[in-house]
Amino acid sequence: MAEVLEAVGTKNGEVRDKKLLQYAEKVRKGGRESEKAFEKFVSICEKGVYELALQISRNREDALDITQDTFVKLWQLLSGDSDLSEVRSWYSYLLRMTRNCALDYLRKQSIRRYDSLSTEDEDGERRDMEVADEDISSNPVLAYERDEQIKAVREAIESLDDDHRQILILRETEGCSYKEISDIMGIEMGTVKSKIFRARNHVKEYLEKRNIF
Amino acid sequence: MIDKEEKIGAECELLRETLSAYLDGECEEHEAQKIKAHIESCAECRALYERFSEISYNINDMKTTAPADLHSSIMKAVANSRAEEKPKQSVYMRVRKISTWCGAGVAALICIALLGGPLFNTMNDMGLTGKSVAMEDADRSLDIAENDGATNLYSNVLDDSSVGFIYYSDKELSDGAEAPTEAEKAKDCVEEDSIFTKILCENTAADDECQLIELQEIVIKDVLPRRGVLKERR
Repeated sequence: MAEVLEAVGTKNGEVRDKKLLQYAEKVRKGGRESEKAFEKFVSICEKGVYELALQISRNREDALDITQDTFVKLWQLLSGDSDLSEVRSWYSYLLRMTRNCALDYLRKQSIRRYDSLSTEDEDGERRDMEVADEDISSNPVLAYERDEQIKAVREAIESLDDDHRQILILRETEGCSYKEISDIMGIEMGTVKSKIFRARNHVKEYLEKRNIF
Repeated sequence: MIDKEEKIGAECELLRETLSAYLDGECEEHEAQKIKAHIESCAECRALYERFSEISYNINDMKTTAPADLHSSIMKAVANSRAEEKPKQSVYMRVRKISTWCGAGVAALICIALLGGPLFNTMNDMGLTGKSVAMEDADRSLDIAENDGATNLYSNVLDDSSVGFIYYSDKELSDGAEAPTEAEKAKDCVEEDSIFTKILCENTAADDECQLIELQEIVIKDVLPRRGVLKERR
């Protein structure tokens, strides 16, 4: 089943990237079609960008601002004169832009976040993860979630540190390949592989402690 | 026996990280074969694989509720950003060749400018109107042109064969001249050697023909004389 999903996901990703490339080229050409093409580009990517922005900022208002900033920058990039011929996957390129925008935004906002907690010390012991930002946990959406397992998984993910959480979300929600994640996060593929494993393992252990599994 | 168990345990430890990659289809073929065979024979690793699969499905099911107005807020932010850039594009697209639209009227204006006559009164006599355009735009444009080494800047401006910056005047319209269609406007181009005009268009706040006329008035009446360029014509 996982292999089937992976195959479908890969196919969907290829179709998506092909569409995004077509829309990007139309925007680059300019003219009346450029606005429509850009809007279609936005429609495809907006939720993914918002999701990643939310995972990084852990605040819905900030995530919205970051999302807007990202697409404004994307428009400026596409309508400008920069050489973009080397962009292979517009989706992962955009997610990388999102991450950079989010980090810049948060630096400017000087938001205090729980950060870098899942590093292992020299003995290989993993440090305790801190609880997620209250903004997410008090979100009214959670109140409506009836699936306890999904809720528990969400809590488990929120207890991850930023890097592990972002990587896991990029993999599971955005369907990014290890190569794409490597590009977006600016880390080696081997690191992507090990972090995804650790993130999943952490979620598994979190759920087992709460007798969800 | 113990050695065999330890060996199996060690093998499991080595394979588990790859097991996660196998779930994602990120393994080499030979690794995938190895993992597949191991899962079939090792209950613990099989259970781990199933747990990871379940977690993957659950995360996929997690729906982040994006704001209802996400799309519209994005497009609005982009539109606002474009509105700030709009003057650079629209004026650029609206510039026409002097020889096409302005004819004798512009040539007369230029001649008057060269003679240093009372341009403002002349402009009024000719019925030129338009919204006010920042003088700073024209000055800035000339600065940019000069910094870019546009040594033929003024002669380009004053030369009848180069591109001017009058689209059409009110007088021309009142004389029966037809305003260009949108399609014709879209075809407008700036001659490559008209550096000043291109820079002027890119750096002005003028947004339509009337503003363009006003800009021309400012350039000829004030900026060029102030810069001392209305002396010679190449």
